[in-house]
Formats: sequence, C-alpha cells, structure tokens
Amino acid sequence: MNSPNNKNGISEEASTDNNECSQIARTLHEMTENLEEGGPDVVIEDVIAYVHQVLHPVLDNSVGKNIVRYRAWNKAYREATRDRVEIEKEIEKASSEDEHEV
Amino acid sequence: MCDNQSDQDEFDVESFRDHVQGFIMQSVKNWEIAKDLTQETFFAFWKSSEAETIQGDRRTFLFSIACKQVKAYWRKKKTIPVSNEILDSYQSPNVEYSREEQLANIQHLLNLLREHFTHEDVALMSMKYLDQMTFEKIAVELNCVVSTASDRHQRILNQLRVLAKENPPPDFETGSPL
Repeated sequence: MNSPNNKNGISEEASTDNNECSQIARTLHEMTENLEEGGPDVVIEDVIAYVHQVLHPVLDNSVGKNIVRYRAWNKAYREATRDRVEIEKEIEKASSEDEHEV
Repeated sequence: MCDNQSDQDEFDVESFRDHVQGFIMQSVKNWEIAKDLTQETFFAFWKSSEAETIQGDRRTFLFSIACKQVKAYWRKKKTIPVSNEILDSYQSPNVEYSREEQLANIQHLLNLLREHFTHEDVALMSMKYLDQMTFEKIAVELNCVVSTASDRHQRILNQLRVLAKENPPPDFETGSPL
C-alpha cells in the first residue's frame, strides 16, 4: 500500500479508481434492491421516448424518477433499452445484407 | 439509367411491408401508429423512387426512412404540451428524505449513462445491474464475445466515474434541478 506502484505496475490511484467504480456499480445495483411495487400505471410510450431521449424535459424527469423507484417502470425501461439495440441491429443487418448482394 | 430502372423493377418493396411495420412497432408499441408510420415510410420510399434518388441498397434505404419516421414521431411527441393532469399522475408519494436523496442520486447516474453513452452501452449496464445477467448472457444478447462485453463494462464504469466527478449529484438541500 505504501508503494506508488504494485508489482504489475498498477498504481495505487488505479486501485482507488476501481473502488470508485465499484461504488458506482453498487449504486446501480441498489436500484433493483430498492425497487417498490405499485406506483402509477406504466406509460410505455413515455418510457420508450425516455430511452430515445426525446421526451418533454419535465416528463423526462418524472419518468426517470418512476424508473428508479417502481419495479414495473424499471422493467419497462429495461425492455425499451434492449428493444432499441434490436432496432439498430435490424438496420445493421439489412445494411450488411445489401452490401453482400452488391 | 436503364440498368437502374431494371434494378428497381426487381426489388419487390412490398414484400418488406410486414418487416418494416414490425420494426416500427418495436419502437412505438402501438399497431395503429405503426401502420400509419409504415404507410408514410412507403409513401416516402416511392416518392424518392419516382425522383430517381435511390442508388442501390434499397432495403437499407427503406429501413432508414422507417427509422426517420420513428424519430420524427418521437420528436413530435416532445412538442405535445404537458397537461397538469398528466404531471399529477407522475407525482411520487411522500417518503423519507434519505430515500428521496438516494433515488435522486441513482437517477442522476442513470441520466449520465443515457446522455453520455451509446444505447448499446446503456443496454449493457441495464442487463448487468438491473437484470443481473452474466457477461456470457450479455455477450449473446449484444452479439459479441464475452471478453468484449466485460472490457466494455469496465470502460463504461471508468468513464462514468469521470463523468460523475465532473457532474456531481444535485444539491438536494438547495433543491437544484436534476
């Protein structure tokens, strides 16, 4: 601990960095552990717009609050983020198939 | 000119209608809206064909129009005025101060993720910490090798740390906005 670098040349600072990363990871993990049941009905369109970052700023903040608080909203958020990846994959696939054809 | 016309004849765009509608549906989650946007997509596609603006890659072109339609749809939604009734429905119940602070910090992190990372990065973090998936499963979802998923996760955490330092959570006591 007293030496600035360990035998692999990794500095103490890097080690501290890892701890801070873990803190962030823990904070994100906390979200699932503290999610509550109930809350307002999920408005799926708003959640998707939140993921795409095109929601009215006031609503955006409110939807974000519901996502970190309520299980149902959080589940919808997770699905929306994965759907977005699927959409991008679809475009990429169509694009690469066309390239092969050409 | 003749070759181009011949290519267009061979390309059966209508065979992609269901595919395009399904693609749009993934985002808007409403069949009626998806149908309308599909119609708009094909209209724009044919309009461009008539103008002879398409040079090869017609399927990609079709999907890029669909993507633009979806984006335009969400952009339009953004301009819809927010009624007090809707805002009231989002009001959270009263909870203890510390819990509110904790939620505000988590939301702050989530906002940083969303604003500064690609949607694939956000999906990776969502799968890792919210769905609590293993890197093996995440790699399958993202169509990459396990080490890539793991390295990417570490990179995101490192970048997020820097961002979190540069953008500290809101001062809860002064009530500054998120």
